[in-house]
Amino acid sequence: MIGYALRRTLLAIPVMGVVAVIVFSLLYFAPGDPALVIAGDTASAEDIARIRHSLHLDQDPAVRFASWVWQLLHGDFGTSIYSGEPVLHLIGQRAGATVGLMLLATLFAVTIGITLGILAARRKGGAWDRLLAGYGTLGFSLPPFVMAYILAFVFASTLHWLPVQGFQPISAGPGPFLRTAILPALSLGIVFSALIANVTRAAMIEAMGQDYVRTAIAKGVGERTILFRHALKNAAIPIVTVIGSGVPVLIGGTVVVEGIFVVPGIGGLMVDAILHRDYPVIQAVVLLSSLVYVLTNLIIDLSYTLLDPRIRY
Amino acid sequence: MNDMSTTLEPMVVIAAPPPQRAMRIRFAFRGLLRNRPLAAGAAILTAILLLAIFAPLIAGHDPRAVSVGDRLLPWGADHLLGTDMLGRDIFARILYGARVSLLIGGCCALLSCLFGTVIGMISASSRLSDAIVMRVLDGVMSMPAVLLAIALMAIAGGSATNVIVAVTIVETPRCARLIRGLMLSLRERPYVEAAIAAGSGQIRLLTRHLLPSLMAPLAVQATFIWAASMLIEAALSFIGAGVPPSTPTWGNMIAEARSLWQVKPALIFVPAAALSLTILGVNLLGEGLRQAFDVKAGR
Repeated sequence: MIGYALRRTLLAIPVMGVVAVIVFSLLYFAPGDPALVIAGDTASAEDIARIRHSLHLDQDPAVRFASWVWQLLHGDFGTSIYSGEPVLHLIGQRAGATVGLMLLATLFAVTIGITLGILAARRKGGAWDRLLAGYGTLGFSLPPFVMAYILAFVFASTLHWLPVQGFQPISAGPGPFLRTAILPALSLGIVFSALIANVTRAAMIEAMGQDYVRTAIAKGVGERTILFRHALKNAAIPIVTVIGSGVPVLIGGTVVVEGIFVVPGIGGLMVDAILHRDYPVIQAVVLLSSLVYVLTNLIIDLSYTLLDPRIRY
Repeated sequence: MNDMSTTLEPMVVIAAPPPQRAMRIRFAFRGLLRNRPLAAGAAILTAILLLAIFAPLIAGHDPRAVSVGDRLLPWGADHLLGTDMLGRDIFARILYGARVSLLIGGCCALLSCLFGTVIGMISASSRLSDAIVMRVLDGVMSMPAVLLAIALMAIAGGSATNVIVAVTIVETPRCARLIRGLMLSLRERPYVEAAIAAGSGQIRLLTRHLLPSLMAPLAVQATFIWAASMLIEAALSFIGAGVPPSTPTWGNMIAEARSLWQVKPALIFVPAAALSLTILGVNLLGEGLRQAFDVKAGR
């Protein structure tokens, strides 16, 4: 097990290496001189020289890549071109709101998704199954920002149950956080919940068709016990896997949704960075969110042995 | 009379194949209609496609014509869906927006499937290429699609072409992975082994035996990419990193109306509905194709 964990962890390194190469070479996708593009039309020659130097564009790409990775490994993500502050500091200020939102969205998605999936799998083609089919089709067709406006329109403008703006972090207490975070978290979570529900349904139907379930039914075990102790436990691996695959969906959605609900998070930082062509910030956000995704999948892979004792490495 | 019937007899026999073929087509068509997601998706998309193609004839207004006196008009006979904050006709902008959305979605689906198939085949061709290609794909796929597209757009600048390039870069790995998996399993199939044993050349093997088996899952995958790319395009426009604001797109319309959404929600919800309906149509089409081909494809 420890050997497998080590090997699996080592496998994440080349993936992050590829991510680093892509993020680094993004700068070279720019048509013409990236420093000119970043500086904009109104920049003076001095500004351009400063940007060129701060991005080390005056150095050889290979040397520059090596020193960039070296700095990253020491926790130095560079300095924001726009605000002049260290990028990691900017991200640290705003990560809390985004992480809180993503965790709440995941909580909603997992609760709604697994419940709907189990209910739908109980009777294939039944009322819940048809409800899930409709929910899934709708959920996949509504982009997160459309979902955000629908929820804001219904629950904030029309019913006045929840505020649109004035996000409160978790540190302000669970009450204010929930009041201000429910709508953005739901906007992010509904698509994700449809994804989880579909996978749960398929995995549960598969598990319910197994011999041990038939045996359990035959010996008179209650439906609840069969669903949760026999079927759900055996359906756990695909469900946990799809939860991991939802991380990029959440990160992509949060960039758009945070702006609508005025959440001071990473999404807003990214949008500002695009407007100002604040290149080091964009690089760092992409790099760190990939790292989060790679680490989540690493943890999920390692959790398989806990979820299913038959899996031995 | 008797004469005529004897002369008619062979004619009927000769004429028999066409009705049969017509019947077969009619049966196939009825089968398609019974596939409700496919029929619904095709109907929605055909309607939107026709509206997009004939936009100049139907719109009645220039989608870019600013008219300060006609700002924020409600719907009516002259402006079917009213006007926006600059007095531009919303109906015309929706129709022209459909052109951009469908064009970008279609191009991305086509290009991603094309590059994905080539890369997937290269990956499946040898163990060394598989190791290299798969590591690169793993790397690209571990970057959140929307973020990578935003980063590409931020540096390359906003234009429809750049949106297509960015989304294709993001979506190609998904397709390549699918093709690579299919190729690895197809290689073990008896009919492929038989074709190799019978001395079929590489090109014949590819075009006659492998590509036809790839078409069904590829078509389903193409609808997923189509839907995803329209979604990413709208998200890019929405945050100001997509097609330039001068072009009427659904994402741009929603972005422009952001500050007014509590005053006139229709400015947001009309383009949002158009976008969602189109994505719904593509998703239904994909679901219908999946059922028709019995493809076990995940998202």
